Amino acid sequence: MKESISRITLLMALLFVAGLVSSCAGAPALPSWPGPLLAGETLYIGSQAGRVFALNPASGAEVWQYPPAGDNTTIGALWGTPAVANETLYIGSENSQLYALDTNTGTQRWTVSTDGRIAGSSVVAEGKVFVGSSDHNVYAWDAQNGRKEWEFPTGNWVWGRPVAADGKVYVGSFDKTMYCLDAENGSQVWAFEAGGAIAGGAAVTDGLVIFGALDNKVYALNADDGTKAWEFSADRWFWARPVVVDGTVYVGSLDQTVYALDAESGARVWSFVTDGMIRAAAAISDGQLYVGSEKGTVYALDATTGQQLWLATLGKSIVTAPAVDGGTVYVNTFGDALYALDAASGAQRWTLTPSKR
Amino acid sequence: MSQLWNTFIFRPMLNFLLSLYAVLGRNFGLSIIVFTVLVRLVTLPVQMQQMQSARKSQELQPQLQELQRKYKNDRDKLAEEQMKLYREAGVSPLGCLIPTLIQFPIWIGLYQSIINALPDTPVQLLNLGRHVYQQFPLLSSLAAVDNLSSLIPLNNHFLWLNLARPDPYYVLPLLTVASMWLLQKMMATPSTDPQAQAMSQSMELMMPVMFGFITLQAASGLGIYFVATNVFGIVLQYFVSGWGSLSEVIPQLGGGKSQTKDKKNARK
Repeated sequence: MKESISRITLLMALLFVAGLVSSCAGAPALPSWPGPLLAGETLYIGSQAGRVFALNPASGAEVWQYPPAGDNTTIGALWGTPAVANETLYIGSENSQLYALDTNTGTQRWTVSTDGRIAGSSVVAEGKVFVGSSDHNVYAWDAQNGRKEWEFPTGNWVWGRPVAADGKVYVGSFDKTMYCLDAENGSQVWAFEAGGAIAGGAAVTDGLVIFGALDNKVYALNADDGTKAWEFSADRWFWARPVVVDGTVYVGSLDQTVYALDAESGARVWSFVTDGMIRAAAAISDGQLYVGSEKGTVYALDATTGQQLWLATLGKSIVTAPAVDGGTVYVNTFGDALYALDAASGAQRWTLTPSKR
Repeated sequence: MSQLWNTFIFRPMLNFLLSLYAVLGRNFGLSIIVFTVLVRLVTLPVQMQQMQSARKSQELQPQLQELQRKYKNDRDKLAEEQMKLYREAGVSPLGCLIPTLIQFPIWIGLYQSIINALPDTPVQLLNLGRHVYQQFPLLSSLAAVDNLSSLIPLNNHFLWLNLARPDPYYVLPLLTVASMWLLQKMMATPSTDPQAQAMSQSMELMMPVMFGFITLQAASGLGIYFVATNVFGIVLQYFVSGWGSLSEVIPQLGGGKSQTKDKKNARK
C-alpha cells in the first residue's frame, strides 16, 4: 500500500515536471499580433506564422506574400503595424530585423538588423524610417536603401511607434521617458520622465505630445520644450496609442474603458466601458470610432457622444488597432483571423486566416 | 476554475513577489530567493508532516518485510496485515500523498509568478498587466512606491544573469542538478519492494536531470527558484532525518543528525 502511494507521488512529481518541460523547453514560436494597414488599394497585414500579406481589401484575395508562397521560411513574430511610403512597406520583427518590401511585388528591397527584438511599428518621414528596438535604441535609416543615419540610446526597451513632426521625432521608452529627438541627426532636444514605463506610441497635435504610460496616466506635453500641459488618470495602464481628431483625444486603457478627453485641458468629454482590456489604438472615420477589446469585441461608437452604434463579437482577443476606409473596418484578432466588417452595421463582409495560406 | 486559481493563488503570489522586489532594493534575484524561503516556511508544517510520515514508514520496514515474507502467496491477507500494522503504528498510508497534493498548487503558483513577473514580449507584458494589483496600501509606506505598475519593467539583472533569459554559462543548470540530486538522495527511503526501489533509484537520477534540462532552457529566474527551494529542502531534511542515503554515497558525512541520535538510542 505504502509503495503504491509512493509510486503515485512519484508519478505526480513526474507529471509536474512534464508540465514544466512542456511549458519551458522547446518553446513554440512566439505569438504575433500584427495590425492591418490600408494604403492605396491594398490591405497589408502580418500573419501569426511570420509572413507579410498584401490583400485586396474588397475580397481578401491575396496579391502577394513575403516570404513568397512555397518558401517555408518565416520572418519571426510580428507585433507592429506595417508602414508604407514610396511604394515600400516597412515592418519590424521579433528576429531583430526591419524589412523593406516592394509594395507592388512583395520582393525584399533591403533589410537591416538591430541587437534586440523590434516589437513596435515604424514610421517614415523626411526620407527616413524610424523605429525602436528592445536593444534600447531608436534607429533612423535611409528609407531608400537602409543606410543607417543615426541611433539614439534610451535606458530600456522602445516598443512604441515613433512620431515624426516638424523635424522632430517623439518616442517613448520603458525607461519611463518620452524623448524628443532631432529627426536629422538624432540629438536629444528634450526628455520628460513619466511615472511609469511608456509602452505605446504618442500623438502630436496642436503643439502637444500626448501619450499613455503604465502608471495609469495619459500625459500631454508641450512639443516645444517637453513641459507638462496636463495629465489624466485612470484605473489601469495606458498602453494604447492615443488618437486625436478635432480637438479630442481618444484613448483606451487596460481598465476596459475608452476615454475621450479634451486635447487642450485633458478634461473628460465622455467614457465608454467595454467588456475587456483595451490594448490598441482606436480608428476613426466619418465621426465614428472603432475599437477592439481583449475579449474579442469590436465597438463602433459615436465619436462626439460616446454612444454605442453597434458591436461585433469576434471571440478572439483584439490587441491591435483596426484599419478603416470609410465603408469597411478591418480587424485582426489574436487568433490570426482577419475580419472585414461593414462600418455602418458591423456585419461581416469576409474573413480569412492569413496563416493558413 | 482558471479564474479561481488566478484570484486565490496566482495573483496574490505574483503581487507579493513584486512587493518584495520593491522592498528589497529592486533586486529580483534576491526577491525570488526570499519569496521561495517565505513560501517554504509557510508550508513548513505540511512539509514536516510529510517527512515525519516518511520516517515512520521507514521505521516499519523490517516488519513490512516480515509480513511480505510471511504472506507472499496471499496478497489480500498481506494488504490486510499491512493496513493493520500502519494503523497500530499510527501511520497514515496517505501521510505522504496529502502534503504533496497541498504543496503542488503552491509550487505551480510560485513558478507561474516568477515567469510572469519578467515579461520579455508584448504578449507576456499584456498578461502581466492583467494580473498586477493597482492598489497596494502598505507598499507606499514601505518602499515609496505608489503602485506596483510603476516597478515595471523589473530590473532583471542578478549576479551574472539576465533573469528573463537562460544562464549563458550553464552554472545554474549544474547547481540545479547537484542540489536536487543531493535532496533526492537525502529523502530516499529504502523499500521492501524491489520494483519500487528500482523506480525510486531511477527517479533520483531522472528528476535532477529533467529539472537541469528545464533550467538550461528556461528563464534563469526559475533556476534561482529551483536552487533556492532545493537548498531549503536540504537544510530541512538534514534537521529532520540527517543525511539519509547520502551518507551511503559519501561515507565521510557519517549518519547526520538524526542517525547520530538513533545510534545513541540504540546504545541505551
